Amino acid sequence: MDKTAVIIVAAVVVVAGATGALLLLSGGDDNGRSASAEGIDYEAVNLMIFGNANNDLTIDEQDKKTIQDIIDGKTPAEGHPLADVNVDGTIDRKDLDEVQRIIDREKGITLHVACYNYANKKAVIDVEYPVKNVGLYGMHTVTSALYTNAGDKVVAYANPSGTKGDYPVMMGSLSGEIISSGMGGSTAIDWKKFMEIDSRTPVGALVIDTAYAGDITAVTIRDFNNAGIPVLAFNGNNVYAQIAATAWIGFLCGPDTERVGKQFAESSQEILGEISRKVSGLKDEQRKSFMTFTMWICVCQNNSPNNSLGELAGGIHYSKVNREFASKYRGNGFSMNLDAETLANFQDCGAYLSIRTSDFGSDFKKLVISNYEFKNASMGDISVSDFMHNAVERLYFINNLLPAALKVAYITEMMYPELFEKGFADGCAQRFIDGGYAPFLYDSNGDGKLDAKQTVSSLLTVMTYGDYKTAKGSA
Amino acid sequence: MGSDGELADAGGQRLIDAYRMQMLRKAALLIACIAGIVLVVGLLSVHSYSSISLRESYEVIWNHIAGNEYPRRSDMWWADTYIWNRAMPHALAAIAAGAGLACCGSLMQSLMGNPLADPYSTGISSGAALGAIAAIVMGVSVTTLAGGGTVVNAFLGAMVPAIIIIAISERISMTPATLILIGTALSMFFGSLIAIIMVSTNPESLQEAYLWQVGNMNNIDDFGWDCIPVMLGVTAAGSVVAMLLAGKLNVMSLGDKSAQSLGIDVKRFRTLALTLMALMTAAIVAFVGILGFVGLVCPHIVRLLTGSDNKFVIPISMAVGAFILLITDYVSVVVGSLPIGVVISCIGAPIFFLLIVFSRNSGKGALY
Amino acid sequence: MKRLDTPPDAPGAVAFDIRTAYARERNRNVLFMLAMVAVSVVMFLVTLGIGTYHISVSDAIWVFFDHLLGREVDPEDDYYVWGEKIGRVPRALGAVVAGVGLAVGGVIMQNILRNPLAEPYTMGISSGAMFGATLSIGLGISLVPFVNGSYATIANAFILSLVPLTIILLISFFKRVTPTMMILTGIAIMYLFGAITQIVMVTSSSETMQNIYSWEIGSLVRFNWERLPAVTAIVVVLSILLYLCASRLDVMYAGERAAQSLGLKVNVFRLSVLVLTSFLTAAIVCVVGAIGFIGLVAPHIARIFVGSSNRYLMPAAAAFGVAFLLTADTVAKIFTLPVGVFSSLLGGPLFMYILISQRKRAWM
Repeated sequence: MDKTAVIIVAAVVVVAGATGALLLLSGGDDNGRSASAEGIDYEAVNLMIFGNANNDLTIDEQDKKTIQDIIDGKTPAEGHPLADVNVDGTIDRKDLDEVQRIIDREKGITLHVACYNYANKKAVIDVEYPVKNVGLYGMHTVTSALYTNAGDKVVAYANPSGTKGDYPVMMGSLSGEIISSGMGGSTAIDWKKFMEIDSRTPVGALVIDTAYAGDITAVTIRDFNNAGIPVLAFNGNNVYAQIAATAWIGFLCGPDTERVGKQFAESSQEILGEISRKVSGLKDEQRKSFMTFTMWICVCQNNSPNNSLGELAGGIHYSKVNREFASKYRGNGFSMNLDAETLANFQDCGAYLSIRTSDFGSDFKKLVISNYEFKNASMGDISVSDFMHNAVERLYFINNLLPAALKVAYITEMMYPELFEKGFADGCAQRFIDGGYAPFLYDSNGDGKLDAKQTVSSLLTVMTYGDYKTAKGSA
Repeated sequence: MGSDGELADAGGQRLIDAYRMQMLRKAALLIACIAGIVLVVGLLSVHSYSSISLRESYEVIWNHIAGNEYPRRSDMWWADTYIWNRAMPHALAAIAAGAGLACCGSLMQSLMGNPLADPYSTGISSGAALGAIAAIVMGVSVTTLAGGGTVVNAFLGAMVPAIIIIAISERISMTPATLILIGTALSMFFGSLIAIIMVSTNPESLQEAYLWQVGNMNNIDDFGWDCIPVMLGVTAAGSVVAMLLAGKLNVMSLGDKSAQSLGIDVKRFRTLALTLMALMTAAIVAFVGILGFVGLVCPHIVRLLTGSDNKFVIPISMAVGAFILLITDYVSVVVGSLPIGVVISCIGAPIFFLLIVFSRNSGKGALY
Repeated sequence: MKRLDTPPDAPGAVAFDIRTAYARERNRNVLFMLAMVAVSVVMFLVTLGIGTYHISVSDAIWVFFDHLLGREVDPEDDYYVWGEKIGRVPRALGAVVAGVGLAVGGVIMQNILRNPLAEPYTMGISSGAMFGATLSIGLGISLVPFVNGSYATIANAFILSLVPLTIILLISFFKRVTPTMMILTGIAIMYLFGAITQIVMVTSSSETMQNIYSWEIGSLVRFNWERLPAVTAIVVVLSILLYLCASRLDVMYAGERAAQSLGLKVNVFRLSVLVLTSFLTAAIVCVVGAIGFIGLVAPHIARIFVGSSNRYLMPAAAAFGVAFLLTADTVAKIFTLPVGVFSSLLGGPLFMYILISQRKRAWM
């Protein structure tokens, strides 16, 4: 009797387990074709639209000319994967007709977007132009949408790093309901709310950061496929990719946002190009060493994407200078192992860049004091200044809400005062402010219209130890 | 002997009446639970959309089963999608988990003769947590099935302490109390391994790992119907076997020596029961995390109301467990930001506290 | 007066055995204590040289003595070894204090609860402290006005860790409170606090949650020169008080009725000792978090060498606690992990071993 019981139990478990496994394997469709996505360089720019044959920032007559050249054989097809506008495998007259319709910005046409899909695989997703009612998920998607002035086209968004409630000024132009439930992991999105929103205002596309791709699960994808909601993903960690993605999101949302997005991308690329030209001549010994912190004083590891800011600014990451540091901080995230002696052997780094997120227009004095006096329970409750010991004078806080090009500009001006005159970064900031991007505008008199512009100082760009001492002195 | 006969009849009648009352009570409890379950299933579906009513939600479920469709991306279409793809699996998972955990809980309490035993007394919970957290945080898992890694890891991890305990109880004869203590020691050990992992990782992974441990329905949200066959299947099979063992369990709760003298091979029976419980609990925990209190408190509630006969305690506490967990899931969904494990803690902890503080010192039907 | 050269089978042999046996045991006690103290001293000096900052053990020891004697020391070395606020010396001293306090607490708890598995946290003290820390770190709520930041955490933890004790005292006014009842109430309160703590942790951001979690694990890193004096004072005073109760506790352990007949008001005594122990444990936990294993196993290990008489057991357990915690913290520093992780890593298997090997022995 006992033995039979055991056998029954075992048999049922095996059968149930096998059924479950079969069902698991069969679930999850592909959202988007992936065949034609091969051959496109996803590292450089990872949100692209078929039709941009010459790989610039727009789709215009020049693209038509390039396609014509390829058809005529004057230009090779390699290097122009986006010339196959209708993604049928060949470049021919049909592509010319397609691209003409795109050039005319015909409403209702289907654009083929080359990006990542929900499962972090390369894919080609079809989207109807222009995209109304955008959904966003992830900090980089939110900032990209905002800097292309598409904030009012957003109907739903989720950002674990902070919502409009956390950054009301910078995200003032962001409409749409928050669909995050506040928790981490897979419950980050309140999909029920998203569905309710979709039943009222059909969502044209959901743009997500590949970092959160895992949250779009098999069940949700089936729902989206059934409903016909396209899901576009791009890797926001790559600075150049994010800049280009901003332009293309602008393009997708219509002519107005297209103009703003293109202008933003061009300004960013010009600034980054200028910086790159000036620092590329530096030899390694001349470069300033740097390390990046997040969450005030958590050291970013050697391959963390946060280090790209310092590197674009011309610095050399400290791991290349100090072997002990390199072996201690292998990885691409950040380290939470903190105690009073963490930086004891690394006091000679040239610059310590701590990335903080601060809303525009906040009280600078209060913020700089709270940053330099921050205490963390696991650190033994000593403050940032004590933790840094003698190196605190080289600790800088950079505002993460700024466009990437601006962040790099401020960092490089600090690192190489001999190459960039004082005020270089402020000049770049002013250029952005004058560009009319929504995050730099705010409502000054409470009438609901974004009528006032931020100033360079209200952007809370960079905080230095000198600023801290000044603030303390006058407090 | 006329008057004696009448008296005898009256006494007999009272006995029969008392017995009928008892049976009625048990049946009433069972029916109440099932009715409650049906109601809450409806409520769960209603909560999907504020615009549809309770009646409409049953309609939607009925329509789906009958195969009728709504216009695409309309209100009712999304309601149907949500209810069928999310709310129904939720409900079924809650029912399976509640029933399974309550069944294991009553098994454990009878087997160990300890009113404080619960399905996790053998250290299964920390083994499962270690497996799951290894998968979540470090990406170390036995299989690469999309997302299935955590579930399989958790299941295998749960079996490790179970096998250790079963092996120890086979080799070394020890009292149930000592078995539970060894389970505690194993928990401590696995717990420290978990602590090492959690302390060295970044905040997002830590949060995900913690949420898994606390007990939530994320896996159900993520995989929908895929989880249900295993959970329901294992719970159903396990409870059938448990019912078959119910009679012997009654005898075991008298104590090892008495059971042995009544002809039960205590060691083998214990091994069999522990294996059964380990499988059931592991299968549930792998999907929903460590849900506490259901296994501990439901059998007590049922015993308070209907006595300690395992033939009734097991099925009724399964119904009660399913009902309670379903209500918990409903509360968790309504509140939105609390995972189900937190809600059951908030419900279970005060109940446990009251049970302890207000139990009678004589120890009859109480906790000690 | 028997002479020591009397042959074993002579009539006086029994008394001879008892005297030497007693002398042997006394020696064993003393040896164990000396061994533990020696280990503690060695580890104290060694731990001064362990840490991220590059300094050799011998150099660190020189720095320690030079600073004590008022001689000149390299400022960098001094900053990291002695520390202006945080340093290796206060941390090591904290290990000593915590080791003593937790071990003594464990001896007492096992005694008055008459349960070999009792430890200082059995009354739910750690869950109360954890809840207090969660309130402060997660919600910024401070129970003591005008205090904020890390001091709020300490204050909260201290106050709330005494709540379970208060509840038990309240219940004792209505019902007679047996040791079993105390343990069960402690467990129930632990669940209650745990539930509320879970709510806060789950609804806070991931960084806050990491903060709270690392607080809970238990780390000696939070000992600095500001906190050390207060905690040391509390631990020293309360330990001495509890040691003075030692002989009466021995009597209690012989059994309640026996104690009562020997003239001891058992209930009142038990509760007052409980209060003292709770304060002792709370003082440590509110700064350090919940370091497990020491309060549970130190008494057992000491008991193996020293016997169950509290007069010897308490100091021996304390010595073991100090030696163990200093060693564990040194290892923790090498791996840059909190010390609480290692105490439970060792605790589990050791506990299991004790359970299995000692299960047939009586727990005296």
